[in-house]
Parts: sequence; structure tokens; C-alpha cells
Amino acid sequence: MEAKKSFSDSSDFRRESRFSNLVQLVKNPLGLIGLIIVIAIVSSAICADWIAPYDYKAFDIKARLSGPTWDHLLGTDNLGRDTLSRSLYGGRVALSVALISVSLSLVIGLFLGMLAGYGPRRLDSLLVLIFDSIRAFPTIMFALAVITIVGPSLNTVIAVVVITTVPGYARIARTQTLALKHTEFILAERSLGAKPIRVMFSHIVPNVIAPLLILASMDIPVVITIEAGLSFLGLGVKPPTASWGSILNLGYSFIRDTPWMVIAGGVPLILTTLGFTFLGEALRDVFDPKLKKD
Amino acid sequence: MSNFNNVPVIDISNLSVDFQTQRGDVRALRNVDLTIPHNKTVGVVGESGCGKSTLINSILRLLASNASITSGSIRFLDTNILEMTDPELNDLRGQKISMVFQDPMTALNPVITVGKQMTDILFRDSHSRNAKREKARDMLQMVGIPDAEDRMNDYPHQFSGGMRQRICIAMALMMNPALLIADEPTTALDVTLEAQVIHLLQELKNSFQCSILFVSHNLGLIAELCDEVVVMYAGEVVEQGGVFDLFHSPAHPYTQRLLECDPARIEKSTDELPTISGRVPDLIELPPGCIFSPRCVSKFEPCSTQPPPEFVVNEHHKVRCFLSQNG
Amino acid sequence: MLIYIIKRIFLAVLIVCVAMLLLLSAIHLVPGDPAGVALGPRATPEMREAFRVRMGLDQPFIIQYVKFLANVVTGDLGVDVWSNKPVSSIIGAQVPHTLRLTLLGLGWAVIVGIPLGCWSSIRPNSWIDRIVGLISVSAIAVPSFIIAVYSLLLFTVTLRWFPAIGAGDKGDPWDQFMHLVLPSFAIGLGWVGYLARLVRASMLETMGENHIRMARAYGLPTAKITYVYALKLAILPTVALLGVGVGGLLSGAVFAEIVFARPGIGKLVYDAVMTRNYPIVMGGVLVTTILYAASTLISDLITAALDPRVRENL
Repeated sequence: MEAKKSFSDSSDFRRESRFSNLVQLVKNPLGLIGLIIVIAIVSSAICADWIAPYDYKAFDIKARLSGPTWDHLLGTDNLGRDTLSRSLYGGRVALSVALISVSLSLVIGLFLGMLAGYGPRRLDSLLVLIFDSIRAFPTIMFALAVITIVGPSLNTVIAVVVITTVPGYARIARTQTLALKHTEFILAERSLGAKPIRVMFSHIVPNVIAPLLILASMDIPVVITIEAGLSFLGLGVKPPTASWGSILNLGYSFIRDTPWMVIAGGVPLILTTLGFTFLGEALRDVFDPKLKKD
Repeated sequence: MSNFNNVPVIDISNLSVDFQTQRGDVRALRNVDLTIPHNKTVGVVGESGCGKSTLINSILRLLASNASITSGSIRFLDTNILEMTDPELNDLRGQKISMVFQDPMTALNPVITVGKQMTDILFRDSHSRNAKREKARDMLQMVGIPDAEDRMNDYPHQFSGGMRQRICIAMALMMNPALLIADEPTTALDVTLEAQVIHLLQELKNSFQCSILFVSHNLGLIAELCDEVVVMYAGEVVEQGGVFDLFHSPAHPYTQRLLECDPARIEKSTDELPTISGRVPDLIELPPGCIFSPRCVSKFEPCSTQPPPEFVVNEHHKVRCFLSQNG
Repeated sequence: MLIYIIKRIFLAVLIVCVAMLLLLSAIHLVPGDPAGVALGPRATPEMREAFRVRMGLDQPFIIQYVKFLANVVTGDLGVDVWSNKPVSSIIGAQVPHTLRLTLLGLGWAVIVGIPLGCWSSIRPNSWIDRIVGLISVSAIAVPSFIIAVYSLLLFTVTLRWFPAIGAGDKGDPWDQFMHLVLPSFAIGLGWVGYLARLVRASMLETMGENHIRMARAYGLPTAKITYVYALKLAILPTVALLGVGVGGLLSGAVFAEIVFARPGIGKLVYDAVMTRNYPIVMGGVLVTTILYAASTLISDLITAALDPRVRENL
């Protein structure tokens, strides 16, 4: 009973400090701007079905490659599809790819990092060597190689992103695990015969999760960029699915006819990466003052 | 220049310094009076946080940006340092007043050779490179660096801590300054090196006609090296006088306690080291009376209500304590 | 120092070998069939089998890997599926183009980023510092291919200040340079931001150190303190990061080469992906990985050579 009580006390304390952290986050002007942009982008992606004026794959052959009109606020593409609607649906693709791959990377990285930090030294060296080797590829080159073999698809994009971002999470989890492994409370726990799994989940995970979440928040714009980049190269989503990258790709092909497609695909992408970056930086400043020192 | 011999090198009067912080203004120095006569060594002693570093940084005008000097003057020979322009200040620093820092391990730039750092100090001179290097080499020899010629091309990390402090002292004396400020120059060194560095300072003091401001919390070193002592507590000068006078008949209870607590002076064997109970007061909200009264064992009526003025014990010995009211 | 260099080179070679092992085993493990992917759905089983034999895919994995490494050492990267020319000479012809683009991008980053970082570190939290900070974060966040497309739209299509596509006339260095300006700017801009932030942070850290206080106490000129005493030390972590920068720039170069239709490894590999030209893709990945490893190696060695604490102790 005693233990339970102290636990609920500490969670009360946490809730309170979380609230003050939120206040701090909003006080930072860039953090606030980032938060507003992120909320706007996320809600427009969720509500795309209701707010998009057209179906993203509906043709309007009469209005091909048009500039902004009252019918088509951001113009149309070469098939007469409404660019605004396609942009809204493109946000959906970008955000879901980002969410899925960042969560996967976080979980896999956490697991591998703890394994490296807690496991036998040989396994540690092997994993570190593998992580270093993955970082040795220029990201896009690695993606191109994988796509040649597996063929282009959204799943391939997610797989590539997860493989290339896992080392970042694993490295942090490993360093933290190594540091924690020899702290007194864990040594005490181990000397009492606690199983490694128990020690990992009850003591190490809570201690490493915060920096991993910060990294995840800063990785979201990176992942969105990779997805858009590969779709821009025609190696991401398959048509007729809309992605900011594929809108840019089409826009690039018709860049001498109309600038509007490039703008409609690029501006949401720029706003989203900026918004998530500002928010991520503000989060880091609030939750990890050690990193703020610069 | 000869008429300056009667003028003190440094004459600080009524100096007060505040630091602006989020909690309020920290009154780091209050009404400090201090003079450093020609060719004399003045020791400043006090616990950490008593304002020693603030005092030094005020003399060189190197205070942090949140500090402000609220009153007083610091006269160097005949000019007020606090009214100097930036070019005048740069002329003063290193040339007329130079400084030896506390930690020789971090005081030298790690990516520039020792010889280059020394000759860089002479940037005001129009001498040739070789002349400057010769001077630097001579200085290194004087402070006892073997193979000085060769070692000028070495980087700081290639010297031991004691050697680095010698180099710092050599640098400080390069410009033949009127005043050398030594900020706890031996705290970071072990005891044998400490003795060597003190011995070196004693020798140099005789050969280089300059005044020294020696800051330390080590009473033994002060007794060995200094002519006069200034005792600081929580941003105030509580007692000052000749070394012999002050160590043999301390008038302020704080000085008395400080001397009792010096491990080197404890004669009987004891289980417990004596300490001064209580803590240095918060310098944001000052007590109304004597700053030491909360910790003072001999406080009486006026101590907690009014600040003590300066009482003269004898010509050179002054103290801020009501106990000395009657002489 | 010599031992350090040898160790570091060994490590770089090891990393490249393990990286290629990872890539080959990933290819081996995924359910896809390289022969099927390369030849397309209409290929007969006999054609696929012939392709496997020709590419050595019929042999056990370890043999494939060892053979691959042995061939790489002798400079043999296999032959182009379609033209039967040696891959190494096809890629070799493209390396200078990519290298020029990458190095010019890095040049932008160094020439613009380092002074910006210094400049904003002199007065931390001033409005100049805040603006530089905001620009740096934005430059880092915005994807380089967007910058490429937008600069193409603005400066080439709309304003017509810069030539549109290609690498420029072979005999005309000025024309070649004009063709490089926009692409190198597009890939270098993000690293301008990175370097500015990094230099600012390490300058601020250095300016707080004791030896800088000492230099001030000796009245050394402020410019000398900032640009010699502090920068000489603060530049070290930046130099160490430049190698990593080359990796980022190589990725960016793929897009820049495609957007500006420039010759280069990126364009070559992209076209190879589109035509499922497996040997070219593998060769391109290998060469860029080696370039990346070499650049991190070089920047590490330069950092060690610049830092007497490392140099004199090795």
C-alpha cells in the first residue's frame, strides 16, 4: 500500500509539472507558432474528407492546368484534378507515414539500444558497428538501392525510413542504459535478483523515454521530407494517391506552364516541416534544458 | 613618475557593486575601501562568496554584464578606472595591471603555443618578433622553465600544472606591471607545488618593483607573503591592517574565528575541526545591523540594529565592530 | 599520429564493408526477386535464371559477398545490364560532376555559415542573433529539393537569371559555374543553417572559458580574441562535422541533379532505378558510400591535425 501511495503522489506531481511545461512551451513564440501550424495541418489532414472541395482523384478535363479560380482555389493539374483537395489528402499521407515510421523507429530503437547497453559486450559492439554502418549510407542512395529491389511503394518508404532512423534512437537508449546500469538503485535491484527484463521496463524505460520522444518530435519533419522526396522522384506513393511530393513532381513537369502546382505542393510541405521543427525545438528547450545550453 | 611613489597604486573608496538577478539585486560589494601602496603586497582573505572575485573584476572592469557599480571610485595612480574609456582600459589591462588566475589548467589557450601567447601580450610594442621572443624566453627562464627556448613552441597541455602556473606568472610580469593581481594562484595546485609557486612570487616581488594584490583563503600563505591584510566578509571589508598586527591581535570576531579555524594553527590534537556556525547571509535581503551579527558569538546591543562604523585600532589597523568602540 | 591515421582508415574501410554487407543481405532477405524486378513481369523463367547466373545471384550469399568485395578491390563493379559497358567507367565519368556540386555546396555552407555563426555569437540574444537563429532553423527544416524546385521556378523560369538545365558548356568554365550556382545553393542552404548554429554554440561555449577571460584581462584586441583565440578552438567541432555534411549534401545532390537535369551519380542512379539497372544502382550506392566515408575520414584527420591536444599526443 505504501508503495502505491507514493506512486500516485509522484504522478500528481508529474501532471502539475507537465502543465507548467505546456505554459512554458506556449510562451516561446516559435513554439507557439509551431504548435498552431501543427494543429492546423493535423486537423486539416484528419478532416480532409469534409473540407476538401473535390475528390482528390476526380477529373475536370475542361479545367486542365488552370491557375487559381473560384472553382479551384489552388488551380488544377494536367488531368484537371483540384490541387487544393489533393494537397489536403497529401497531408494525410505525409502525417501517417511520419507517425507510423517514427513510432516504429522509437520502439525498435529503444529495444535495440537497451539490448546493446544491457546485453553482453560482444552483442553491444556488433550492434554499434551495425548502427554506424547504417549511418554510413547517404540516406537517399540507400533508399534508391532498396527501392530497386523491392519496388516502390509506401511500405518501402516506411521501411527505409525506419532502418535509417533506428540508429539515432538506439544510440540514445544505449548511452542512457549504460549510464543507468551502474547507478546504485539499479545495482541494488540487480543484487536482489531482479530479472533484466524487469529492470529494463521498470527502471530504464521511464528514464530513457523522454529524450527519445524529443528525438521523435524532431524526426517527424525529417521523415515527412524523405517521404515527399521519394514521392517527388516518383518512388513513393503510387498514382492516383496524392502526396505533396507527387504534386510537386507533376508541378515540376509542367513548371513552364503553371507555377501553381509547385506552390500548392511545396508550401504545405514547407509549413509542415517548419511547424514541426519549431515545435520540436521548443519541446527540447522545455524538457531537456541540458541540450539548450547553446 | 617618481612623484607617484607617495600615491598608492590602487585606491578604492566606497565601492559598491550589485548584480541584477531574477530574484532581485545581489549586493555583492558594499562600501569597500582598500589601498595598495607602492611595492607592497596586500592580501585579501575571506570565505568563498565574500566578494573577492567581484573586487578583482571591478579593478580590471571585467564584471559580468548583469553587474553594475553603484557607488565609489577605483583610482589607479591618479586616474579613476571607473571613468576610463575602452582604449584606456585596454592600455591598463596587461600593461599596468596584470593577473594570475586561479586554475592554470584552463587559463591558457589550448590551441596556441605558449611562446605565441606570451608574445601576443606584447602586441603594443613595436619591437621585432625576435626581440619579443627573446623577452618571452627570458621571462620563462626567470620563472624556472627549463629549456625555455625549445618549450616556447609547445602547447599548454604539454606542461604540468605547476609549470603552467609559472608560465602564467611569467606572462603577468611580461609588461612590467605596476600591480600584479594573484587570484588564489595556488588553490588548484598540490602542496609542494604551492610552496614552489609562493617561493617564486616572493623572489619576483623583490626583483620586480611591483605591488601585488594576493587573494586567498589560505591564511598561512597570506602571513608568509603579504605586508598588509584585508579581511572580507559577505561583500564588506570587516578588518584591515599590517600582517603582524592583524594575525597577533585580531579585533573582529570574524577574523578571530577565521584564525581559530585555520588547521595549520591548531596546536592541540582534536577530534573535531572548529567551524564558524551559520551561513553567509543572503545578499539580496541584508540584515539591518552588522553583517556578521547573525553568526557572531560576542554580539551585543547595537549589533543587530545599526551597521558598525570603522574604528581605528592603530594607525594601520582598522575594524568594523562595536567591540572596538572604546579603543 | 601515424597509428591514429591507420586505425581511422581501417575503421572507415570496415564501416564501408559492413554497410555493403548489410545492403546485400537486406537484398538477399527481402521477398522480392532481383531478377524478376530487373527483367520485368514478361521475362521467362529461363531468362531469369540466365540473369541470376550472370549476376552471380545463384551462388551462396557469403560467396556473393566475398566476390563482390574482391571485385570492388580490383575496381570491377560488374557490367551495365543494358549496354554491357563496365559499371566502374560509367560511374567514374559521373563522379567529378557530383563532387564539384557537393564541394561547392559545402563551400557555400562554410563561407556563409561560419561568419553568420560568429556574428550572432558576438551579441547573444540580440535581434541579429535571433534573426540569424530563425533563418538557420528554417534553412535546416526546409527540404533541399523544394529549394531546388523553387529556385528553378524563380531564378530560371521567371527571372531567367541562370541557365536552366545541364552542366554547361564543357570548354567554358564560367558557363559551368553558372550552371552550378543554383543547384549548389539549393543543397548547401540547409548546411549554412547547421554550421551557423554549431559555430554559434561552440563560440559561446569557448567565450565563457577561462583562457578567454585571461586574454581579456591582458587587454588583447577584441577582434584578435574573437577571431583568433576563440575561433581557433571553436572551429574544431565544426570541422569534425563537415564530413557528415558531405553525406547530407550527397543525398541532396541526387535531387539537385534530377531537378536541374545535371549529369552526376545521383541522376545516373535514379535513371538506373527507373530502368531497373541493378549493377549501376549497387555501384552508385557503393561509390557514394565510399565518398561519404572518405570525407568523414578526411574531416576527422583535419580536426586531429588542427587540435594540438590530439595531434601531439598521438
